Amino acid sequence: MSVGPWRTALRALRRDRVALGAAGVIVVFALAALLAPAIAPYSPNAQPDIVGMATLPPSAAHPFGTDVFSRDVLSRVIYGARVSLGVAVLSIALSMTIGTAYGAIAGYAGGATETIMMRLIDALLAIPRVLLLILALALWGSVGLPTLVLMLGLTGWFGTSRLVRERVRALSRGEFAFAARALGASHARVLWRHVLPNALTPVIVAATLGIGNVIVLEASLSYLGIGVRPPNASWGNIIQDGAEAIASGWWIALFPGLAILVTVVAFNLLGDALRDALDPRSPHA
Amino acid sequence: MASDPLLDVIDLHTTFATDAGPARAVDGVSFAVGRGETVGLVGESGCGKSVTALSILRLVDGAGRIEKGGRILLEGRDLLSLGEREMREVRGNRVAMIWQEPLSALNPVMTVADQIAEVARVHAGASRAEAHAKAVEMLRLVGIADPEQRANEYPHQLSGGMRQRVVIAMALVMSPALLIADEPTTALDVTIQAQILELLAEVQRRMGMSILLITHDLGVVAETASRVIVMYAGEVVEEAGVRELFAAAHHPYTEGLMLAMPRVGGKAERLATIPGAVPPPTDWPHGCRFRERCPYSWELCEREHPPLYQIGEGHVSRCHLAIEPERRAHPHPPIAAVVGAGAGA
Amino acid sequence: MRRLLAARAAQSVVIVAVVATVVFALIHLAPGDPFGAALESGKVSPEVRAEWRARYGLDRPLPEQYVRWIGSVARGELGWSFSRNRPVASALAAALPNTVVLMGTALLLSIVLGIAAALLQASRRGSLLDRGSSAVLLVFYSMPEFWLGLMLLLVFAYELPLFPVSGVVDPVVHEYMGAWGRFADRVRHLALPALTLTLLLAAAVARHQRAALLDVARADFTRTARAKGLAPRTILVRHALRNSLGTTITLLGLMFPALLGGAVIVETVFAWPGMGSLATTAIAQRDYPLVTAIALVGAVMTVAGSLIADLLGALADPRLRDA
Repeated sequence: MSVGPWRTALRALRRDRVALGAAGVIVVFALAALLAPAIAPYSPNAQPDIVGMATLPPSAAHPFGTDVFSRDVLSRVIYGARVSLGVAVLSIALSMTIGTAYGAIAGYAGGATETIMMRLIDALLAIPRVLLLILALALWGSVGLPTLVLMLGLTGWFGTSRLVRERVRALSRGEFAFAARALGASHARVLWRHVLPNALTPVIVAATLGIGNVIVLEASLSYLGIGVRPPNASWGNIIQDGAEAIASGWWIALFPGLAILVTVVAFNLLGDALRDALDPRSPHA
Repeated sequence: MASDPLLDVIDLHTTFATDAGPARAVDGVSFAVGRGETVGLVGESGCGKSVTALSILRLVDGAGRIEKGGRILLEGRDLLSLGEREMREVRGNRVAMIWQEPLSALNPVMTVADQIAEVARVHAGASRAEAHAKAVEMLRLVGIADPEQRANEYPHQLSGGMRQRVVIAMALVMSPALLIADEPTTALDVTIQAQILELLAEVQRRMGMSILLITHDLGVVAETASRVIVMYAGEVVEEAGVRELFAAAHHPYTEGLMLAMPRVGGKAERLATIPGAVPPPTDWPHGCRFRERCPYSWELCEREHPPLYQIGEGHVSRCHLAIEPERRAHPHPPIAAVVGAGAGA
Repeated sequence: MRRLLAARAAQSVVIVAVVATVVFALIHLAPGDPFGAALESGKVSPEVRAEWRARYGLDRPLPEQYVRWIGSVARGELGWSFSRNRPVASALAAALPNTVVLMGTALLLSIVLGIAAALLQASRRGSLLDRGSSAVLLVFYSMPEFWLGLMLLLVFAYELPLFPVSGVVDPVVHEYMGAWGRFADRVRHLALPALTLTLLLAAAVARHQRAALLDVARADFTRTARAKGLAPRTILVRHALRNSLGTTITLLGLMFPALLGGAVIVETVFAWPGMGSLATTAIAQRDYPLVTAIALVGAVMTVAGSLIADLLGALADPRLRDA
């Protein structure tokens, strides 16, 4: 019962050339990230000649130019993909898990429990995520990547919980849930095997669109200096370097930004296509 | 039938482009509606009656097209030859149309009066004040109590029956010569249904308006229409005065529809249904389109597509039984019933 | 309608309380007790330290601290800013108007541009213009704000010196300009930061509004409107737009937090002296009371923004008024 809609959706997706293109781009970037050591022309942190080779414009030897410390920008962008994509994917996975669990419990429980749980979500959604993260990161000081992923994940599940709760609510009041219980299934079993598989479609869409958001968010935080810190390269902190040298070295800020742009556009296209395929009646944007 | 009909539909063909090929939803339909007449257009869903109605007002959109060659004469003018702007002057003005579900037909963010007044402002150039006054007058005409108060309310604040009255009021603002009503009472309670039908009849008497009433419900037709047109598979299959139709229906499909009508007070038998289903409009069968579901069909029905035979005064039927009436005495199980339920679906 | 207002106002108060609680939790969960450490720094005078301890009861048990915290938030007492050596409230009062101006300008421009773009697209649905615009909108929607700001700065301030690089007014000659000159100066300084925010937000509004318009176009009352003999333009503006405005207003209410977050970031790119710049310098100087206050005020602004959006939405869509 839960395989049907997924399979038809995948079939529909296969026919959508734009979606396939977007997925292709994502795969290419992901591969580049994974194979960074193999394909990056230079080491991302090597500073061969800080006097003679700093801030060079793009050339054959350095397609993306060099930065103020004579580091090759292309290599940094490739390694940056690891960090930016990795952080985004992991934190989304965390957010989706927490959000799904919370929303499922709320939607299934119903009554006062559900109301209280969702009111809490309303309040949490009111806080601008950027400000919350700025505060948290300021208080915690310099954080490593795992903590950053944790913080991003813990601040990004509120919207998902709403989506899941709506779905679970509708489905658990539906007939097949009732029938399953009449046949002796426990609450947990009904939730896990019957309701959840059908409630996951908006989550898949939200996750795909969410990765794009988190990439931008992490880049913003790294740009402000509180996200990914040197020596780790992330697209955001490369842009930070570029900002300081904007007048003399525009390429330093341009290329990582383009990388972000292309990646996020790809995830948005894929997410939109998934939503049209899986959930055509949901409100857009 | 009056020699000078208000509406004369001649050989209308409306086709939709679909993934499975062109769907000929309306395939050569002709009929006329006289002044002040109520004509019922009857048939199952999928027979093309709604598309016929939409074609008259040229509201068929998207993948649908009215084919060249047909004509739709309104007071002598061919609507199919008009430009879009001229057509807009006809809509809501000379010909009005109402549908089944009043809540979705009304704009939820505009007051009732604004929506009715809009018609007057667009077609009669009325000022805001004049149009509003007219709106209140129309609300009174359709029997809504306390019209000044109701005028400033929003659709979601009214009951279903009142909403349909509002929809009717909107349609009647310009005193159109023809009102097309597509299942106007299907979504309403039975008691409200009767009130709305009575309202339509009264308005018709007062304004001398013609009504083309589209429905699948023969009961509604029996009460309101003077003439009935039965459609099946994109074609007219029978046309007769209402009394004649109920007394002596000719086409086996019409017969089947009558038998399928539940009758209060009759014997408690199983309701008869017509076995099988309407064939797909992308693939009308050769010969008679009702053949597989018909209890009287024979080889001629497969070979030749029946024309509209004249059965009596003002009574036509698209059935070969007109030339071999004795076959009616020997019914057989229809092919669809033998092959199995859902054959042809 | 009045009941709606009362209900939402009550909800807003609860939300602010929850936010204050979350902030409190963060402060006390953070490793190393940053608040306490800040107090020990040499910059803080003994009087301020004593007053702080007294107000927040930093030696008291946690529940009591919590109550005092909520109390001072409710009274609007936000503490002392170490880096600026003045009450937090006064530092905020200087910065807040600049952020509001920036956000307000961006909001207004995006609504106008976004809806105009959506109407244009919806009326020429499926055309090259429509699909081309959708692609452009998608690109803007997917951009990081700070990067767009940097690129605009690069092109329009550095390469082509059309606009100033930073600040609200010209630091040197603003005082000497006439009234008109001063206004023009402010506008020139506002242009690029506002443009950055506007491009992104307008893209989001246009995408959403276009989809909403197309949804409405399929609706039954559109068919009725056509049957009434209305012209397509009339139907688009008087019927479709009025109907879909409600959802767009709701969207804006939901996007308010993101808009505020975006403003905060864009400010740092252009050295716009609003809450964003205040926050980054505060972080650099470990001025936690200031950072905390900014987070709180930001949340309150968001709550206010979404309340206003709800009220406007009810004005646009009468069905929401009885909710």
